[in-house]
Amino acid sequence: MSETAVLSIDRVSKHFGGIVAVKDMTFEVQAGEVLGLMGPNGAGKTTLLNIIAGTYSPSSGRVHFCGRDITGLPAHKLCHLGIARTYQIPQPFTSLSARQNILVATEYGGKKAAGMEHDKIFDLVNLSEQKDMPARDLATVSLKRLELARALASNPTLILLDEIAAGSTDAELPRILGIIEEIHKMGKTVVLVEHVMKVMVEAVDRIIVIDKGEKIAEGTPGEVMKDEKVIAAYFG
Amino acid sequence: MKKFLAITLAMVLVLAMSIVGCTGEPVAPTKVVLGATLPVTGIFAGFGEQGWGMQKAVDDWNDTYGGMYLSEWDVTVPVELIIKDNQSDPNQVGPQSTDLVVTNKVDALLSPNAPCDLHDPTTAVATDNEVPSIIGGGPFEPWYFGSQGEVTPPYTWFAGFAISFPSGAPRNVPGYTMVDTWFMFMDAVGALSNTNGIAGVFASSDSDGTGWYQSFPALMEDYGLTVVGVNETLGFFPLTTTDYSSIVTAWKDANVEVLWGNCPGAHFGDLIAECYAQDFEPKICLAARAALFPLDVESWGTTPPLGYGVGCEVWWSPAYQVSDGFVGIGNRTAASLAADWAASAGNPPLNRGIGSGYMETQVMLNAIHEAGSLDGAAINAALADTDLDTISGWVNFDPVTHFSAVPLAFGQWFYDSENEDEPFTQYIVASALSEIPEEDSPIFPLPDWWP
Amino acid sequence: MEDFLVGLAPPLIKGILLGGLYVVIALGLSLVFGVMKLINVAHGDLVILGSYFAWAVMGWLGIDPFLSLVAGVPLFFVLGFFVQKFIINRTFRISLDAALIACFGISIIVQNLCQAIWTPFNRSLLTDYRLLTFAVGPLTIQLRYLLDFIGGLAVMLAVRGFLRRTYLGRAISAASQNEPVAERMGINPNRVYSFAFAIAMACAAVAGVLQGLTFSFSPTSGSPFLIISFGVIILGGLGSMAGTFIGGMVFGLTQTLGAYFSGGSLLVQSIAPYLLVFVILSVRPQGIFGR
Ligand SMILES: Nc1ncnc2c1ncn2[C@@H]1O[C@H](COP(=O)(O)OP(=O)(O)O)[C@@H](O)[C@H]1O
Ligand SMILES: [Mg+2]
Repeated sequence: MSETAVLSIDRVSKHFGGIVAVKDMTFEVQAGEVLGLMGPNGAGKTTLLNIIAGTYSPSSGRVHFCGRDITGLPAHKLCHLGIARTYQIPQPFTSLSARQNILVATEYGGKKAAGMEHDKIFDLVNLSEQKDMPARDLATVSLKRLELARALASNPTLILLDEIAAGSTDAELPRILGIIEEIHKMGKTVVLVEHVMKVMVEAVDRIIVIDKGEKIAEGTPGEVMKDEKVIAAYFG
Repeated sequence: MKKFLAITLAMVLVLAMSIVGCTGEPVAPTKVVLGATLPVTGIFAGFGEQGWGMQKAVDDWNDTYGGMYLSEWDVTVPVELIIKDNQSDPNQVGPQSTDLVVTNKVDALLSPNAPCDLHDPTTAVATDNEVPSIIGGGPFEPWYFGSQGEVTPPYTWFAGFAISFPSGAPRNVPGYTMVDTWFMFMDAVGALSNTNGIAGVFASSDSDGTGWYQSFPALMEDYGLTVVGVNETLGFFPLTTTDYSSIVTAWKDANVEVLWGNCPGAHFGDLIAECYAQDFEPKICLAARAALFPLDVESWGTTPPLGYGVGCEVWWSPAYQVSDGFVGIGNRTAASLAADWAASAGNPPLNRGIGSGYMETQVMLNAIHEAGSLDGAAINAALADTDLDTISGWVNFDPVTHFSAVPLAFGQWFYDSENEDEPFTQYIVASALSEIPEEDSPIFPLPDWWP
Repeated sequence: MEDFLVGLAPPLIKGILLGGLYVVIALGLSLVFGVMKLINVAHGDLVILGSYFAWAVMGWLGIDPFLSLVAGVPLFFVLGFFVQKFIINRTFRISLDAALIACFGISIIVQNLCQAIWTPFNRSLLTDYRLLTFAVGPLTIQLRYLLDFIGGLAVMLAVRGFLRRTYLGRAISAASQNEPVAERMGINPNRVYSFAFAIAMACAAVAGVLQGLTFSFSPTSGSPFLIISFGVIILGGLGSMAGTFIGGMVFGLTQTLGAYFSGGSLLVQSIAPYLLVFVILSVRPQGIFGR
């Protein structure tokens, strides 16, 4: 494992009964890197994020974070260590306002001192107007942004973004790219799961392509797009 | 093959042993065991204190005679009493009685003077196992007509009081029924002329209360009272009830001056508190079952003393005596039993149930002694022949109904604000029998709650 | 018409005031269920334990039951915290069923403890003011029922404010809405559970005093209140504090109005709220206030 790796996945597998969702996966993410995870639906991307974030523990293999073995630690501990994630399907605390949602993340996230101010976060994700609305009254697009805001509020080292651009219009893409760029500038490490190619190509340093739980390709966006296996998995 | 041999051998051994067991000399008993299931805890815990009286009778017997002499074996063996706590739960009474017979191998069963749910199931167990049993209290009718129909269970005997006398009852004189004592009190205070004669009734929906509600309103009407709302079952309530405002309002609206009913003490406490809060005070308040035990009456409070003047039937009196002979076992008298109780742990106020508990145990011990055997049928035959002065009246069972009436009187609770430990004392204010003297004159009308 | 209204006023008032008692009793059950989806079958017994605590303090030191809450609430809070931490949280590792069984165990232990310490006999919190009444126009109000209502409203508002405005309260709200996400946000569910149970116990201490002032109690009288609390929660909707409050009012009103319109029948009084519970369950299973 290299010195600068923030996250290191070592021969990780995950079974659900007979289904193998992730199979013998190995890769590293360097500090400050933006890594893209790609693959068809059902490839195992979300499952992988769940393993990193501690929602599932892997059936086999180890996960290291900043040099520390975190395999099987409960989610709240991983949050305190500095791993945040967003959900593909937004999961707000519906009875709390947007601001209170973020407050919870800050209060319980573990590292309050160095975090961003809430107003800055709201500005960044363009949610300032709606911050006092109960989350149950927010539209899906806003909820996606709330997911992001909440992840940032806990001031993570590593942030896992699950399809934040899905469902967005083309007009909104620059803003999303801007947010990722901003997070990147803060020095945070990002793992991004995304179907929207434009986001992938413009935002990430490196892509790993997964199919049926297995890594089938790895490289810069340009390299990966030319890979035959990738073309086969997506179009074949 | 080996296995087959082993099994055969085992079978032969078992057979051989059972034959030896059958033909071998039976062994003399080493003790006499009595068993009872009592509501030691739960809402009827006041009734459970009869266990103290039962134990006292057993101790008296062992102390006086050095144990039970069984002529069949020519041995004297100690008497033991096993009490199980049914937690005031009628569903536990049957299984516990069975357990007493099957596991503890008791020679006889005792059942308390208690709501009939808490002794009825024992009757069935006694019948099935041919184990003699005595129910130490009443009223008699719910047991006789309720659970058993017209046929008297052969192994159960009932020494208590009746609501009114069944035909052919052994003692056709006043002083043995609830109706006698209640109306004796009503006569004494001139209820029909000194009140407007309008009565409200209340009863809980357990079997005791249901039986009461079915029979008493009619008796009250016969006596000359006008009973309010019986057709709408006004005042009949489930045991989960805590709020009684609607019935109190109804009584108040109907101008009720006589309040009469049967329910557990806890429920009556909430009921009478609601009467007070609505400024509804009857002139007469009779609360069967609820007002039996001092701790219940105390729990209704002294600000104001809601139990003051509330009346109910009285099972037993420490003054009970016939001529000047001892009525208990050895030189036990009713007075000394009460004195021992008062001196027991915690110096409890008088619970008149101790007399009932003592009495039924005394009768059972006497029968076992007469039988000179622990054979169920022999003891049962001796019970049928019982003719005994006990600590709570003369007991001899009717051959048809298996009922023996013991004396009953009527008491009211008196309040003494000076006495902080025991502010309430129940005095007998109406009695038809010279053996149970009246201790005070009746309180009428109820003392003013509202100064 | 006027007569009708005059007759209707007392049961209406009584129902609402009595509802306050049901609210305080149901709040703790509702909170625990909301947070950990556990039906705390010991809740009624814990309320009665609260009654006994106040009764004992009154007997030993002559302190008013409400004043005794200064000690009772913190004591019950701490007790609740540790019961959850050392008993129920451990059973959760096995399953929710195991936790339910643990609650049954607690119920039996509390009942027997009360029997052993305070005897099985019936008690009341016999304060001087217990049965006071006062007139408001043509109506008579009973102090104890008024206290129930004030207590119900106060405890409901306090718990609600706590859940909305405090650090810990937000964690409890978050965990009760979406536990995996709350955990992802750094909230330790076990700690949240411990605090939720602690608060439920503190509510039980208050409920115990109000119940003991209003009605008599014995070690076994907790179970009817558990059943009433179920009814209140179903009527009001699970987990919602305001819903529990409305549920309590509706329950109390259904009782008193049921009795009123049946000419004072206490059988109707005891059955009516449950009939309403059935109706609500069939037309609006999430409760009047549930979402
Ligand atoms: N909790 C689960 N139980 C059973 N199967 C699951 C579970 N989560 C995911 N899977 C299965 O694992 C595979 C990968 O799913 P997922 O990680 O959601 O894919 P992706 O996010 O790449 O679309 C799918 O076949 C999915 O059905
Ligand atoms: Mg996915």
